[in-house]
Amino acid sequence: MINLILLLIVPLIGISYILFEQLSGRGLSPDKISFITMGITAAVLLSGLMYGFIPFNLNINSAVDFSLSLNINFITIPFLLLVVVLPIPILYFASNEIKENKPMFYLFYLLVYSSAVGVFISSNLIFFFLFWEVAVLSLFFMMSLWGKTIKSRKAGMKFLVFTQFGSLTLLAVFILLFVYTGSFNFYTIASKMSSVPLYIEYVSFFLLLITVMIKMPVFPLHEWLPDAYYYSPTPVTMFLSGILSKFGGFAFILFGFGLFRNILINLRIPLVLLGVLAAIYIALVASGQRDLKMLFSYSSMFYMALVFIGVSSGMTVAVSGAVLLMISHGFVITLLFGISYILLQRTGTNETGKLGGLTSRMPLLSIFFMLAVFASLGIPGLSNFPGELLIFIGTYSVAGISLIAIFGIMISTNYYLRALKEAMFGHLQNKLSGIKDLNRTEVLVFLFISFFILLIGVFPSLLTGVLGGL
Amino acid sequence: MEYLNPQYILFSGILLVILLDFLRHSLGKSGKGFIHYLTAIILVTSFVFNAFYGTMNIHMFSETEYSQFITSFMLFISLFVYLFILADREEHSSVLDISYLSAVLGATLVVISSNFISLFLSIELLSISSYALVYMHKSSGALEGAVKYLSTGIVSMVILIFGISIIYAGAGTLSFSSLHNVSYLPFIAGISIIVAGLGFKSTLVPFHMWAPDTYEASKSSITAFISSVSKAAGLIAMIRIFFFALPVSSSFVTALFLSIAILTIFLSAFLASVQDRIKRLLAYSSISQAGFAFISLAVLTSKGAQAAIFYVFAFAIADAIVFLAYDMFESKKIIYRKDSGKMYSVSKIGAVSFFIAMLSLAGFPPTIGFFGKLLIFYALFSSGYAYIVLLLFFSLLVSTFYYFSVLADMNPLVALREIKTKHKVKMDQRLKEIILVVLTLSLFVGIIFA
Repeated sequence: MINLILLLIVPLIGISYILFEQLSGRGLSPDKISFITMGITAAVLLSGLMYGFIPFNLNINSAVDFSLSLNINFITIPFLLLVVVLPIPILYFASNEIKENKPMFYLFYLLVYSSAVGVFISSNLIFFFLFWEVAVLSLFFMMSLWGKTIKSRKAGMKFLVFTQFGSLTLLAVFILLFVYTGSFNFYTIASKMSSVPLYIEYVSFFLLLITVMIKMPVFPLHEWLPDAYYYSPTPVTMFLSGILSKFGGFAFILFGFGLFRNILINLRIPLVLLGVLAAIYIALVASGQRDLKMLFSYSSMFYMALVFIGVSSGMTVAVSGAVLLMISHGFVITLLFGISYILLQRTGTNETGKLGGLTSRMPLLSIFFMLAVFASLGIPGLSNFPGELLIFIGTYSVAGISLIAIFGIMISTNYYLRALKEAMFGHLQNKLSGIKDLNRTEVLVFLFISFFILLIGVFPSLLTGVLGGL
Repeated sequence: MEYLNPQYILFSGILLVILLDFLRHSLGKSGKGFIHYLTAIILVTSFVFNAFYGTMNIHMFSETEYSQFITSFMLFISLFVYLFILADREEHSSVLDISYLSAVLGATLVVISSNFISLFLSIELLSISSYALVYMHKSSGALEGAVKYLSTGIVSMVILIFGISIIYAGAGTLSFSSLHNVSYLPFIAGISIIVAGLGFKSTLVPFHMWAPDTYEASKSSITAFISSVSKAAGLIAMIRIFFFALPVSSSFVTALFLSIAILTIFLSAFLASVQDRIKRLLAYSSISQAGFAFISLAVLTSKGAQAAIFYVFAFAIADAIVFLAYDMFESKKIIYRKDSGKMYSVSKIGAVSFFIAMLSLAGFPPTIGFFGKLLIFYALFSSGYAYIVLLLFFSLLVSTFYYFSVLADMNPLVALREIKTKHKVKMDQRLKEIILVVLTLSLFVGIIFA
């Protein structure tokens, strides 16, 4: 049996070790420390999955119910897998991209890592909020301090102000629940939900909706995303799209579906309609993008809209589909951003019009590119397919309107294939003829991500099986 | 044991310091340092005795359940601010010691005053000493700041006296314990005027005009005292009057308080975000903190009063830290926001303390600033002011913007690049850093009082 606190202690030891190295000024480089830390955490998670987890509880101040209580809830395990595993391949891009002031960057890196783990396992809502905020703040500093241009500072500030509003509304939900149930513990609140008046449930649900729509993000509160994704350094973009956007979905499922299920079911038609609108709108906007990184940013929002549709239907099947889609999207989008990063490094541009015919020079990269694009399109056997299928099966029975979102998938097929064709096939430009293919490490990193894409695609039951008590 | 309360200690300490200062001239130059250390010892003793024996409890001064906690945090902050001034090694006259001790005595007396006369006298004691403290900084702006402070302070005291006299006309008594049967009209008029009078002390909009100028003109360590302990005294006086003394349950009072508080919070947030000088930005942020403490008083429930007291504690410590840390930066000519990248080169520990205290002021977990805001929102929600909370969120966004534009300008990247160049750090800077570390730790430990 593994105590859950170990998942937090190991990254904290890593952080203090980086600080210690910083003071003593010699020894291991910070990226190696981060790698080892994350490896150990992954091993802890693996042994925990095999032998089971023990909850942890430490009371700090009972007047405001501030206690460090960690527990596994009904959707934790898949997300835990995502946040523990995904930062390991991202580390490769970080070590490539970040040249100046490494210790500080990896400090923030491990802070995001540990707080993301903390968000998914803490059952005390104040600690949930604490980890949530630490992740946002660390990403803000990573974005605005290591961004290349002056615009990244502005994008960082926009990101912070937007998400801060979402965090505050989430805090308001927590306080409202505390007022009526007298507790910040998720399980106590869940058992006392009957003492919360109906109008308070509605108010809380709308506040939660604002949080979710900012965080995922869903149209029309997505304004911060394009700038934040585009102007951040690539590892930060991967964190934002792979992990931070899952916070929104996680909160929506945990509180919206877990606590306010009646409200969710009452409002399911307008919410699904909003999700459909968002999906179609984002797919249309994405079709106009000529820059790979921008295109992937918008497409990431498209999948979040599908997740939104799935959860707001309030059906168990669709919610498990949404969880599957979120996990799979985390891996797929990281692969896509990795590809766009390598193309930018090798060719100096990310615009599809200026690339072309790279298949002959970069066969390995184009294989991974095709894999990622096919996974995104929902080809059976790859990871997005089971999630999308479950979402549409689940929502069809209660809100048939959701099927309109399939048009969005058709549009996304168009822009993905166009990007693939323009960048990889066609006439090779002369100045690109000397370009090098992936080296061995990059192949390993991409194989690592692709392994999970295939695994989820072929055995989705691995993840749906651990969704206990939906 | 009856006379071992901090107020007695402080009072006899002031007399002792004055006496020794007279005798010093016959002792020669060496006596001066001794007086400074004696002042520090007096502050330490009063802090310790407060922890053991509680506050004074006689005729016009009686304690409430919170007064021991409030007095101890006031003495705690005053002690460390004084140690910081002491660590400066800059020649300061013993007049500063006397004024400082009198100001601390005034602040601790405000906490336990149970009569309008004693309250007025305590505030007057605090204010008059503060004017002297502001003027003692030998800079070009000190006179201007002190005069501004003095003139607005005197006007506010007159207004306060006017309000008190109206209450007296209505109730026939000045004692807090027998104000229950005050008639309606004098009560409304008196309360509005008292808010104006005390609003000057605790920098509520529209009585805040003196604050940025005075804060900027005085030495930053003195600003740390004025913006934390002195302002806390004003707010605590309001809590004492409006929550414990007067029978306030009128919708007019709530509307008045809420509108003043919201005006304070929003105006200061917007003014802070356009400031170019760091110290003025901090001054406006400190005004906005006072607004937050006041808004939880406005709901007039025991939860609200509790939240207000805790929030006063939270922002007083954080404000003391930012101004003390800024004192170190100011001496190295870091005035404007664009210079804030150099903060780390002056003192790394100072910059980190500044950073954490700013996070606490902005209300980020796990600092006490967050728990203060949590309790305020809790108080507002449980009294049904949900829409006020939503309004406050927008002001918090503005404040997030200006706090983080400073924090991002600080840019830790510069700091670590210079870690290799070990320059000699003086003894006094080490002392200052230790003081800041202790105060910063209390930002986290303070959670247990929530």
